[in-house]
Amino acid sequence: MKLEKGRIGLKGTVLIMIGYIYGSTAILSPGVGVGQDAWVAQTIGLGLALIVVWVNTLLLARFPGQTFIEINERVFGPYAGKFISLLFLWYIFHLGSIVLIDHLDFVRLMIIPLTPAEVVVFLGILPCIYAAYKGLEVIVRTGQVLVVFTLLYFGLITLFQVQSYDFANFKPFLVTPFPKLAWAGLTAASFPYLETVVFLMILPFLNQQNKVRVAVYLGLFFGGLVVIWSIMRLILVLGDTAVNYVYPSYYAVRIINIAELLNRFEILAAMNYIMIGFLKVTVLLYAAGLGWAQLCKCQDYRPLLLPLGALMALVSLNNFEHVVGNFEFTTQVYSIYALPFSAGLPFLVLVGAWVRGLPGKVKNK
Amino acid sequence: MILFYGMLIYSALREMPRYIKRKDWRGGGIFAFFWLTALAISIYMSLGFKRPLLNRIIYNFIKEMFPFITKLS
Repeated sequence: MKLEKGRIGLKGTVLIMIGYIYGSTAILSPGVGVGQDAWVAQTIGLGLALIVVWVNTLLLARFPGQTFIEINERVFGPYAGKFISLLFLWYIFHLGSIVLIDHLDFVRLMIIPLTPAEVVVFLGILPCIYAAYKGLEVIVRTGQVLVVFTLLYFGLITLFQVQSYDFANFKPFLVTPFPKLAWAGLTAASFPYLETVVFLMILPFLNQQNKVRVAVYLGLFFGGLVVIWSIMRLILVLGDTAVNYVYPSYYAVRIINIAELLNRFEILAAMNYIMIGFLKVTVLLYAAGLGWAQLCKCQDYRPLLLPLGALMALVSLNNFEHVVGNFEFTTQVYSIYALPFSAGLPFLVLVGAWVRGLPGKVKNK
Repeated sequence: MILFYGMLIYSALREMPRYIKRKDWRGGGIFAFFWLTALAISIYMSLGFKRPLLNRIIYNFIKEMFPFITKLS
């Protein structure tokens, strides 16, 4: 029984993938720790990710129209398959809780500092639950509007910051020691590019299954370009001082002041961060809900979304003691934590399918 | 936290009768699992106990296992 009857188009999928990739990097600006070489680290990360997601596309080409949970069960059988699915679902769920608190910490610290965290998180998760409840088509249609708005904002800010650009900030070029740069590249690959592993739950609903690879590579490439340009913009505007700020991209927008007339653009930045965070959390919540329903062979995934969303919000409140802990986790250990899930699990399943000769000869097309 | 209790009560009142009507015990079981876990965490947090800080535990574990990352990051 198909739990999701909706179908999504190529354009919408590429757009939500761009929004998903840009999601948390809009706030956390990964890689600023390696200073002016951060954009190089991001480029290395994108290159690594473009190679690794090839595994995901191979998997989806072998099992068209099936989600990762269904593929696991087919390849490894009911017990081992369910165990691998549980690991995958834990990662999606935990990632959702991290992304939720990333964005809502920003709201709490920068916009409404006196409001209790519980209230902010509760109000943040509600629209995500509602959107996930409405189904994949609604998420993609909403995502298209939000991502287009985000890209317009991005273009506008890029234009208005031209006066603050200092190209000398890129110098000296490549002074970061290679091991440190490679590590930053690996971190960049795992956050945000390889987080797109969650699309193994969404791409099976693409209406043109022969274009899955095109969707993945277009989404990843353009999402990567947006992230790399946002990091380059930070270096151009803030230079070495970017590392001193909790939210460097927000501060970079705050300093825009054109003839004392065009200023205070940070409200646009805040709106943009909230919208893009909503999109990312919704995609993760939807994938987790659908995955659990498929894993347990439920008749419907939607009733699970409310308690699962509440659980995601509650776990997000128990992730870090403060925002600095969040940064330490993301920049130092996240890649080691995430890579086995985001790159290891699809690779394991692909090897399993290859060894067992699956899908073999199937009657349906 | 009262908001979370409200959310959980609403979801139980809304969904449990549907599960019973459809006789979807498997779905009802997984729903109850999430619901009870969320309720347990809500009660734990309401009582003001020290938060377990999941990511801090993962962070400390990985730092112990792979000490080289301190130099690299």
